[in-house]
Amino acid sequence: MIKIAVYGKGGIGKSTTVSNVAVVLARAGLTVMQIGCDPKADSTVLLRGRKQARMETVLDLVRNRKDDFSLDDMVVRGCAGVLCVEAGGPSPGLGCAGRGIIAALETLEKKGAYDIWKPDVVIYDVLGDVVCGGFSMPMRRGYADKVFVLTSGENMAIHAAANIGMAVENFKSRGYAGLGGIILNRRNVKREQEKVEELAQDLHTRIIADLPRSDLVPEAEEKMMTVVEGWPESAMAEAYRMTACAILQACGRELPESLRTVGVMEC
Amino acid sequence: MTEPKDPDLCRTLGKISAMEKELNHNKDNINMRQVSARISTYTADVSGVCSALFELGGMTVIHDPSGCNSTYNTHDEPRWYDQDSLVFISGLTQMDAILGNDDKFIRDIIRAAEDLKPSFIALVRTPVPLLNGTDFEGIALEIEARTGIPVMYFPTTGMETYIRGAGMALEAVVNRIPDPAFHGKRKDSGQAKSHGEKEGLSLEKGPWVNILGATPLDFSIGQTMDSLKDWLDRRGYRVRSCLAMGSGPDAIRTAGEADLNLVISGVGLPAARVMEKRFGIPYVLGFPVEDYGRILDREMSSLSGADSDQAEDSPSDDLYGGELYDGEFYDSEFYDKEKSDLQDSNLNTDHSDRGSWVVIGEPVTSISLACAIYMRTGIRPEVISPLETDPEILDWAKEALNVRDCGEEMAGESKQGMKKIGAGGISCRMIQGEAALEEALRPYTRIIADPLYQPICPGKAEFISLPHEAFSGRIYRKQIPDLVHAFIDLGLKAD
Ligand SMILES: Nc1ncnc2c1ncn2[C@@H]1O[C@H](COP(=O)(O)OP(=O)(O)OP(=O)(O)O)[C@@H](O)[C@H]1O
Ligand SMILES: [Mg+2]
Repeated sequence: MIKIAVYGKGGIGKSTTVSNVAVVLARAGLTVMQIGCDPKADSTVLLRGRKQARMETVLDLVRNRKDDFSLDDMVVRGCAGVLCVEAGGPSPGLGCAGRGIIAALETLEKKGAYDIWKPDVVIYDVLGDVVCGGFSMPMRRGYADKVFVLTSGENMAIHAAANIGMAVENFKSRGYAGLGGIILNRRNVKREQEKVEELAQDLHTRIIADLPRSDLVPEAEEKMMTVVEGWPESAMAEAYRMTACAILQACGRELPESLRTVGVMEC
Repeated sequence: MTEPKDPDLCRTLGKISAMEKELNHNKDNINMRQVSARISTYTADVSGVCSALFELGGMTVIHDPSGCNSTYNTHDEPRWYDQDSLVFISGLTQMDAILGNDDKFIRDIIRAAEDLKPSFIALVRTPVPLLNGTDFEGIALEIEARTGIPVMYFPTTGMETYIRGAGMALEAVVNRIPDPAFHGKRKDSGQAKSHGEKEGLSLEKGPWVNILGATPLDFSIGQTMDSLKDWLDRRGYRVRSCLAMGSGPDAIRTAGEADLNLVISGVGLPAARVMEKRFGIPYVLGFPVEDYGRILDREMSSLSGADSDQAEDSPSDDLYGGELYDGEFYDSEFYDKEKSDLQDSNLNTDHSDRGSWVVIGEPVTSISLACAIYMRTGIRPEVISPLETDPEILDWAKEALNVRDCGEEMAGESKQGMKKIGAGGISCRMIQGEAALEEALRPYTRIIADPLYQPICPGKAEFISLPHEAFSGRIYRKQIPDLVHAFIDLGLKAD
């Protein structure tokens, strides 16, 4: 089982990217679980589509049913059989969202999510900024093995990515996840490549994938689906497939048969 | 009920009774199930961890502002002033919690550890870091890496009882003791005796036993633990280690070499399971309260490999001889009365003119006491455990008066799988919360419990005081009986 956490500035494209990656890996025969660690609970919308637009989050279940629910209640099978989980959060404006993430992930583990579903790949899609201890939970020991940071060349995105990289470095002595690499999601700003490469150097890591900006992404979003599902032949779909391969490789995993033909990126 | 002399306590009790009035007033309006307005509460899990680790030479750090520590040293730890131990609080402040000052916590511990060189460090969680989601596992790893001292972390909540806290502490300890097989000190598990030297000794002196689940919270600091060791000694058992009172770290390190574990309270059960799994050491539940020691001894000798002929060599006060079930084992007068009861192993309360009795308290000792009372009087008390009670203890209660049938030992049948016969068991229920307890106590005519239970006991019932350190702290410590010889103190001496 590989477990990865994807961090990055709010709105940078984390949920869109990991949803596409999840579908690629699931189509390649792996059991994939995507866990949205964000009170917005919108990580898996593209995977669930219109038919399953509504789902109960883990914290909804805890709130409404105390302990009286099962593993199945927390999981919705989305596109390509990806196991979709949303941690959820407190009532907006109340409670503590970060502590909520901790409670949700602990509940998931206690109910046997990892033992029973035995996913090959677990993806934690974490809210934009690591504002408190709760949002570093997915990096903690026993959760993700590797952290991937998603960024564009925009200054704000780079700044957020640098902070995340620093947090990962700080937590090294606690046995937390290490940095797996940077995923560049282009916004087509000036000197984009150069700035992100600089960031990679500062963080002693590298850019493992390069995603162009594409109109297919918002178009797919309109249809509540992923690009790899709707336009599998497109260049963007191929870019997501390459991202999926790069993630597996960064985790030291062999590629499944069907992904071996995907062009491996130069870096 | 005697009045406590301690002025602090009087004040507290005064406050409690004022609160009680207030609470009673509100009772119908609020859901009061978990509130204790008239009775005390048990020592919490945080103190349980500290209590279990107190004598083991480690450094225990409670991560909290201070409340848990003062509760521990003033109410839950009778050894505090007489014995040295490294128990600390982190002095967590509101700002530490808000700003996530884990570094300060880590730095302070490392500094203290470098000074004091403890053999291990234990981190204990309390409500503040629980709510804050502090990553103790990560912190433990960091401190261990930086000091080279093993660090254990206990995920206590401050909301459960010492049974869970002390239970997880002893479990963690036996998880870390060395495996004697590794040093060639033990043959494969299952076979009781091991290396030559020990075997020679064992033939003369009998098996090695660990006592599991000993803390002052259940056994105080009076005579009980000495009497227990004495009892074992007279029956030819040798104490390998006692977890965790009166055994130094060295004795505990060799606990894996024992032939048998005696689990004397619910606190010892998780550790017993670990040792069974790791070293193949079987365990027996129970405490030798008065006559119940005879059944316990029989059970222990059948599991430890000490044969019953050896048991016959034991001192003459031992009442073995003849078939156990001919009425000699139980007082024959009562045996006849209870015959039907014995046959269908009926656990219902005895509603005869002798009334119905109940023992409230820690389940393993209370069930043992109930068995002893049955063996002496023929009255079968019930047990109510207000503490976390493992299902295994409830199962054991159902058979606590039975012994393994050694009469017609069949070839190929292991002693552990042997069928059990005898007088059945004791009904034990786990009931928590003052209101539920008060309701449950209504039918009984005689109640044996800590004096602080008296306010919720039915007025017509006879109350027999059995103080329990984990419930009333030091208030009645002087009246805590020696459990091995409990009947005189409880006024239950056979007529
Ligand atoms: N490569 C891309 N090309 C074009 N649009 C994109 C691309 N990647 C993401 N987007 C768009 O950016 C928007 C934000 O994406 P997404 O919701 O995945 O971000 P996020 O990082 O998960 O946000 P949040 O932090 O709020 O969870 C979406 O409308 C998405 O369609
Ligand atoms: Mg998102």
